[in-house]
Amino acid sequence: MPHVAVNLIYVGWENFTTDDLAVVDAACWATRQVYWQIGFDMFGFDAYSIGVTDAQGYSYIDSDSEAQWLTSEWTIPGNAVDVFLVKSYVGPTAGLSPVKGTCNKYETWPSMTGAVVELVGPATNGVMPHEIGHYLGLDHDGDPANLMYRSVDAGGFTSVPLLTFGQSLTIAQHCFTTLP
Amino acid sequence: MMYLDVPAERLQRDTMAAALRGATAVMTAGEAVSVLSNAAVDVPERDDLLDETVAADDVADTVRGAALRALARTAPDRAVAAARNVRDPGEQVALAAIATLGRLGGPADAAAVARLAGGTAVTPVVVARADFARTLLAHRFGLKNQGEPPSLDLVAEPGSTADAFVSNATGVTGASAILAAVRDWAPEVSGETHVVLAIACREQLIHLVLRRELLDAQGRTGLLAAPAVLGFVVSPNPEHGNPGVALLVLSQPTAVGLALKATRTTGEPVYSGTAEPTANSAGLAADLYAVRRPGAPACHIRGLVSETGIEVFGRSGHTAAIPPRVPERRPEGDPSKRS
Repeated sequence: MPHVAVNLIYVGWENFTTDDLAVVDAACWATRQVYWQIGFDMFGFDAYSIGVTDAQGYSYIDSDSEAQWLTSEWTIPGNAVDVFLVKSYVGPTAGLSPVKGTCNKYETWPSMTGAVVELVGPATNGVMPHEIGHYLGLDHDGDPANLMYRSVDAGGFTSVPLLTFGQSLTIAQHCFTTLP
Repeated sequence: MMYLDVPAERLQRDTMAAALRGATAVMTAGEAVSVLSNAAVDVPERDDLLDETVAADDVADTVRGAALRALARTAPDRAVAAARNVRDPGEQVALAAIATLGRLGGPADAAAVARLAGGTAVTPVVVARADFARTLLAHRFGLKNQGEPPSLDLVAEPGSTADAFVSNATGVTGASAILAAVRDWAPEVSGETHVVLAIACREQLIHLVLRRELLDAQGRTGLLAAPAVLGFVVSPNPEHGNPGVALLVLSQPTAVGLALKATRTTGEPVYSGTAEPTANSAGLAADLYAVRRPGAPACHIRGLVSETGIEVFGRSGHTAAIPPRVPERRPEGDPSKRS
């Protein structure tokens, strides 16, 4: 089965509560379910942390450029998608990722070398797989039932959102996808 | 990028106010702030609600801070007033108030910034952001006697294999969109006051928005006399391409010309260098290099200013000369360890 490794990076680790970790667990579980339906195994989800002091204020993101700088200053070597988890991403959106993210996580600004995901309660189970989808090459989709639709209900997904065969072909072409 | 979709019946003032206090199960405080930050969503009395949240003692510090940052987007004047009125804030409110005053406040707000930096939530990041807010006020309003600029550790010049770049003039339509993006950060900027240049950087187009005074001798004399925000660097959002301010270009007079610094909007320096008048003071020649910090490339930026225009060119490494930092492994954060 094709597979993609994911790293979780908690930005401002000390700020995350037990409830937050439960939200992250649910989002990881949802991510695996979403991609499993098109035959992709999302695995790893190894956790890393950036302490509040080391984060230098980037535990709470105030603009898209701050999200970009965060990913350029921190990375985990290897071919896994780096997902930076933040408690707050001020603004109307709940995350940011490049569409078809780079294979070289040592690329410098203005490249963005990971996805940034805000913890927004139950809706995090839609935001995390959506932003990972962007990194793997998926653009927005007009079907409200599709993972890549541009909004998610504040209550999160109640059924597994769709991905199409065409989208699976796009993901298969990303350099972080390992094919059997 | 993903928006939160909230049913209309939950967008009522009372429901949102309860959510911001964590007093309802229908929406978290974070979701409420996210919705309030979205100008496309019609929330009754949005700015009143944000203003009240900033001032509320019974709302979490992180929510109050996020509310102030949201207010700075939707009602800048009210955000400045709210920031000035903050007393004994927690860290997130202090950071939001300091950022608001530095970016949108007046020259007298340096005192309010100093008061916030001496409050109950003094942490290294509060001190650093307050220093930058005072620097920003000094540059926005040309306040003299700022002392010598600190010398920064720079990355050596890149080799000949680094990517070369050169600026081009931007058409009127393109410049209009870039200037609009800068106005989100600095409302006073316009085509009358600034010129726009484009630079191809890998697959992306970044833009320089520079003070028009650079183009004439009298304007340059003024810029050589007092600190100034010389311009902005605008980069496209990596997801949807919309432009946003990524760097501020700050200048400060020295004995021989200008000290230049390009900083993130949060103050961390990214490029640093100097500019000196050319022969007969007919222009300026500038050289900047990357500041040594994790993820920095080797980079050399040259700028030439004359009566006929501004040209910016140089070389930049494709990958980091200073490796990015590696976060600490945290097994207790693995979902598999908890399931």
